[in-house]
Amino acid sequence: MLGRALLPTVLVLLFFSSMPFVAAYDSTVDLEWSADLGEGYITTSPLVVDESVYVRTSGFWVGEARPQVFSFTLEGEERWNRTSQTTTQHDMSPLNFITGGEGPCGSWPDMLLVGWANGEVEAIEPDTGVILWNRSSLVDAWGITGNITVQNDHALVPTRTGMMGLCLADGSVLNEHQLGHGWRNGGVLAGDAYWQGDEHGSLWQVNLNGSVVEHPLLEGMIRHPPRALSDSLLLHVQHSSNSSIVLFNLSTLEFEVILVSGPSPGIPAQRGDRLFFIDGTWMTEMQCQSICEVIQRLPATSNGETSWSPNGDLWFPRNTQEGGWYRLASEATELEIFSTALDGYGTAAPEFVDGSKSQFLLGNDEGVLMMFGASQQNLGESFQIDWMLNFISLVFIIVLTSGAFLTSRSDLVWGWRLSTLCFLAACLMVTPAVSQVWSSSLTPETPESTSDTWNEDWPDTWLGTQIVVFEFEAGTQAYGGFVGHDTVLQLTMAAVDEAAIDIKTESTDLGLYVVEIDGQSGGGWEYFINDQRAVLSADRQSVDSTTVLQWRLA
Amino acid sequence: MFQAFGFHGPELSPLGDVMVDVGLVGLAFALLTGTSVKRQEILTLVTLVVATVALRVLMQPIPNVQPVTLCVLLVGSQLGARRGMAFAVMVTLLSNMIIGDGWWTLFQAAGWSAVALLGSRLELGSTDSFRYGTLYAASFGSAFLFGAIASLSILEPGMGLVDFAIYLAQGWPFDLLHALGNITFAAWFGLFVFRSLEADMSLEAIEQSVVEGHVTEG
Repeated sequence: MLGRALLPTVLVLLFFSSMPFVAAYDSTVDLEWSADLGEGYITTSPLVVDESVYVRTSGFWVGEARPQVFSFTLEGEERWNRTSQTTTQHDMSPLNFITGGEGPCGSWPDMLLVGWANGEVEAIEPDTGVILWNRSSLVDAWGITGNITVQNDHALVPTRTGMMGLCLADGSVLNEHQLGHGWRNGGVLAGDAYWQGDEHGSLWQVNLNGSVVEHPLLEGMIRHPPRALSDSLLLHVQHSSNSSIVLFNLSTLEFEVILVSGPSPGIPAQRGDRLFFIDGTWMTEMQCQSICEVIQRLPATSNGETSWSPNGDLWFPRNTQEGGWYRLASEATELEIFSTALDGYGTAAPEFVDGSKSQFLLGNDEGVLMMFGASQQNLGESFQIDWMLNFISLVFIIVLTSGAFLTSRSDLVWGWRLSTLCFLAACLMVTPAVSQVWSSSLTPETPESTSDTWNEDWPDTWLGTQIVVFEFEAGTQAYGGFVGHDTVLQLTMAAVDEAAIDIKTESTDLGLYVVEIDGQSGGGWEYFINDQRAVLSADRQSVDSTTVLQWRLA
Repeated sequence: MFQAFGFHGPELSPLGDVMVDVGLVGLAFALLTGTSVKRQEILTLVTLVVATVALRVLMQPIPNVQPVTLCVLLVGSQLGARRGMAFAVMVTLLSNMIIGDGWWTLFQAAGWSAVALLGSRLELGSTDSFRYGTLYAASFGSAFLFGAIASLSILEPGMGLVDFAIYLAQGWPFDLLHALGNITFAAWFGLFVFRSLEADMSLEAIEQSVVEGHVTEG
C-alpha cells in the first residue's frame, strides 16, 4: 500500500522539482521606444547618465552615411548627434562619461569622451554635443578601438600603436608610449602600473615612472582590457581556432594557461573574485581565490561585451543569426534568452537605467536602439512557467519510471524499449550543441595569407585587413578594409552590407550555407580562404585579421 | 547533365534529374525481375515501400533519424540482397521525390543498397529465437556505412582526401544519432518487421525446395 502511494508522490515531486521557471520578460517587459540610427552597427553598449542616453554607431559606410554618436532623452527624443566625416570603420571604443573635476593639469567639466577609429579622441559637451577638445593619434589601418581608462586627471587612451595619457582639462598629451599594435584592447591599472595587451600576444606594463616592460606570450591576441585580481591579471587570449584563459602572476611575472576554450573570445566580466569568460562556444564562470577554479561552463556564442543588471544578473549578446541576449541570473546554472523583434548578430551589451522603472537599452548589428521597460514588476521578480518544457519533463519522467517499473517486473523488452526511446530523445536535444562543439574542435587552422592572394589593383589601405571577393558571372567585385570579423559569415555579411546586395542562406545540421548572393545562386556558393578551399560552413569557419575571402559560384 | 556543384554535390539539370530517376527505376526493375518474385511477395514489398516512404517523409523534421535503414536491413536479411537493394532504391527514389531529389539520391540509394547487402549476410534466427544482439550491432554499423557512402555525393574536383575526411568527421554526431535511432526502431519494431517478412520467406523456401527437388531429383 505504502509502495503504491509512494510512486505517484515521487512522480509529482520529481515533476515539480524539475519545473524550470524562467523570467517572464515577454509578459512584463515592453518595448517603450526605438530609434533607427541609420546604416551601421551598434557595436558597443549605449550609456545612460542621469536623464540622457548616449550611443554610437560603427561599421561599414554606405553612401553618405558615417559613424555617429547620438544623445537621446530617456523618452527617446534625439538631443543631438555628432558625425565623424573622417573616421574609418569599426568605431568600437566604448563611450566614456567623465564627471567634472580638477587635478594638477587643470579643471574640466562633465564630458563624453569618444575614441574614434580615425585615431582621434574627442571630448564632447554632453548636453549640446559641442566639441570641447580633440586630440589625434597614429592610424595604421585603424586608430582607437579599445576602452579608455581614466586615472585622476588623465585619460589613458589605447592607441593603435601604444597608449597615451591625455589631460582631461584640455586634451594635452601628458605621456605617450610605443607598445604593440592594438585592437579592441584597452588597459587596466593594477599594482603601480598600467597594463595593456596587443595583437601579438604581448602584455605591456607601463609603470608610473614611465618605464615600459613587455611580457610576451608565445602566441595569441589580447583583445580586451585585462581583468585585475589582487595579485594577478586574467586574460582571454584569442588564437586562430580557439582561445585560452591565461593567468598572469604580478609577483613572478609569469603566464599560466588555465583553460582552453572556444574561438573568438569576447570581453570578460568580473564581479569580485568571480570571472565570466565568453567566446564562440562557451560561457565559462570561474572563481579565482588562491587558485582559479571553473564553476560552470554553459554553451553560448558571444564575442562582444558583457554587462550587469541592477539585480546582479549577467547579460551578454548572442552573436548568431538568431541573436537575442543571454541572461545568467545570479547563481543560475542555465542561460536564458531575451528576444526582440530585431534579433540578429550583435556584440553590444545592454545598458540598464537606474530607477524604479527597470528600463534597459539594447542595440545590435541592425543599428536600432531599443528601450525596454518593466511594466508591472522589477526585472527578476516576476516569473512564468515554461509549460512546454514542463510537459517534456513530465513525459520523460513517466516514460523512464514506466521503464524502471516494467524492468522490475522482469519485462525487460518493454523496459529496454522505453529506455532507448528516452535516450534517443535526449540525444536529439543535445546533438546540435554537441555537433557545434565537435565541429569547432575539427576546425582546421586558417590558411595563411600569401602574396599570391593579393591583387595589385587593390588599394594599399586594404593591406593587413580582411578582404572579400565575390566572383559573379558578370565579373569579380572586391571589398576590403574590414577588421575584427571572426567568422566567414560575419565577414561576408559586412561585405554584403557594404556592397548593398542581398544574400540568402540555408540552415542545415552542419551549419549555415550561402545559397544566393545578389540574386545569383547557380548551384550554391562556395568560399576559399587565401585561395584554399574551406570545408566548414560559413558560420563555423574562423578567419584571421588578414584574410582574403573569395566567394565563387558553385 | 550537371549544372553546377552545390553543397549537397552537383545540382542536376531537369534532364539530369529524369535520367537519374529513370536509371534508378530501371535498376530496381532489373533487380526484381532477375529473380522469381511471387505476387504475395510483390504485395508485401509494395506495402512496405509505401509504409517506409511515408515514415521517412513524416520523420523528416527529426534530424537524421532514419526508419528506412532498419527496414532495408531486415528486407535484405529476409528477402535477400537483390530484393533488399531493389527495396532500398525504390524507397530512396519515392521519398526523395517528395523531400528533395538530386544527385545525392544516387548516393543515398547506394548507401541503403549497401545496408541491404549487409542485411543479406546476417543470420537473425527465427521469431522464436530472434537474435536482437546481431540486429542491434548491424543497425548501429549501418548508420555509419550509409553516412560514409551518402557523403560521397559531396566530392567534387579539387576536394582533397583530408577535406573529405573532415567533412565526414563533422557528420559523426549525426551518424551517431542515426545509429541510436536505428537501435530504437530495432527495439520497437525489429521483431514485428522480421515476423511480417518471415511469411514470404517461408513461401519462398517451400517453392525453392520444390524447384530444387525437381531439378536435382527429377
